[in-house]
Amino acid sequence: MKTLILDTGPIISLVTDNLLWILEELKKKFNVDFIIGKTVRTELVENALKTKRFMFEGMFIDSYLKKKVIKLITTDLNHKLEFYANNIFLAEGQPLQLLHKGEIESLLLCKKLNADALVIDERTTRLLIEDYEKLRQLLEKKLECKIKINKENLDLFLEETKNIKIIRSAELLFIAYENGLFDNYRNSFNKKDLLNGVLWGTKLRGCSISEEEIKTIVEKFS
Amino acid sequence: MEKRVRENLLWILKEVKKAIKDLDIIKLRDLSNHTLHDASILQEENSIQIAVIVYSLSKIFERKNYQAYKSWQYFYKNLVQYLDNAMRSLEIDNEKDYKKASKSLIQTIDKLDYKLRGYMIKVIEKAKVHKASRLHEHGISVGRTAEILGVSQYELMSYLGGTGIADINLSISMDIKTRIEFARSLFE
Repeated sequence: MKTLILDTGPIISLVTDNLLWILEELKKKFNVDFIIGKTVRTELVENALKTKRFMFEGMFIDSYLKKKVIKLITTDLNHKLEFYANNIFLAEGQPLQLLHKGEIESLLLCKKLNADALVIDERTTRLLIEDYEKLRQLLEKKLECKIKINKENLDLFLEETKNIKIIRSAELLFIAYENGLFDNYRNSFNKKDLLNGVLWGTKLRGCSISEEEIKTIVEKFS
Repeated sequence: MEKRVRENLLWILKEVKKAIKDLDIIKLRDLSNHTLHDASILQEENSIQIAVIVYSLSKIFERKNYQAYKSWQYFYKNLVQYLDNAMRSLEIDNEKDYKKASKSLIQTIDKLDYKLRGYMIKVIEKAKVHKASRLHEHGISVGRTAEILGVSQYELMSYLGGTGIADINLSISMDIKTRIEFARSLFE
């Protein structure tokens, strides 16, 4: 059985695109466990239920938790990882507080459960894990000042997160597409258009995937 | 309040007062970006709040029809008073009074015509999401940005989808073919 930790973003992208059902199908077909933490659940369900605009999305996700398509697992947030992550980059001598408790919790769950992947749509966490130098360059460009790195905190953070591999809702949707979950639409639309439509749907709902990446997926993999 | 933040806020408020007098919407919008640097680095609440207030003002003054409402003059008078009080508090480094002045501006909105109040509340909510997206663009994560601005991640994600933030080269951290192959390996 594979274990995937879901951050807040991919579930938001899927539920607002009416595509949360792919999780149920992927779980059935591939025996995958989709896991979220408590902070992520609070944002997705409790906070959504307090609004008029996203109340139904909150209810819908709650139903997926109740039927265990998505499982809730708690973890101790009292861990140094948050300190390391938020004390790596310094701008004008000030440590930049980059990550939120929810994102930290998802990383800690990956470690605790030795998860096969983290599904995360937001850019900062992904860059920090996969290419911190690009994140430093981005911060320097946007903040228009020199960004220094606290090497000790960076090394400790990278050591804690070294086995974490990342995919996004876009890759989940690609797998769903490749495994025939959108075949109902294949009679009316050609496969490239279909995949393009699915991927643009998640991009426009906040998944950090570029137009160029979508183009490559559609051209090379559809 | 840090001296640098205080001086920056004071300068912004002075410029806002001038821009309002001249009905210079573009200047107002530019001024709303001046605190983004401090907002990103210090994540200081006054810098974040002023960015939202000034951006909201640019949107409010952009809509000329708002000025036809009966309570517009009341709003305008209180806005000028807020700016004067806030500047005075900053000049003498009194953060408590500065916050009181900001609160009084919000209370002013509560006393406007039903429709105008509704419009302004919507403008402020949208301004928060807009500023959150700008902070994220500066490298702060979606979760952290949503928390700082007090907006929902649902709202922020859908707003981000309409921006080009994901399209810049510095947003890409792995070759797409490698990521797709890895995703495939998870579902064999």
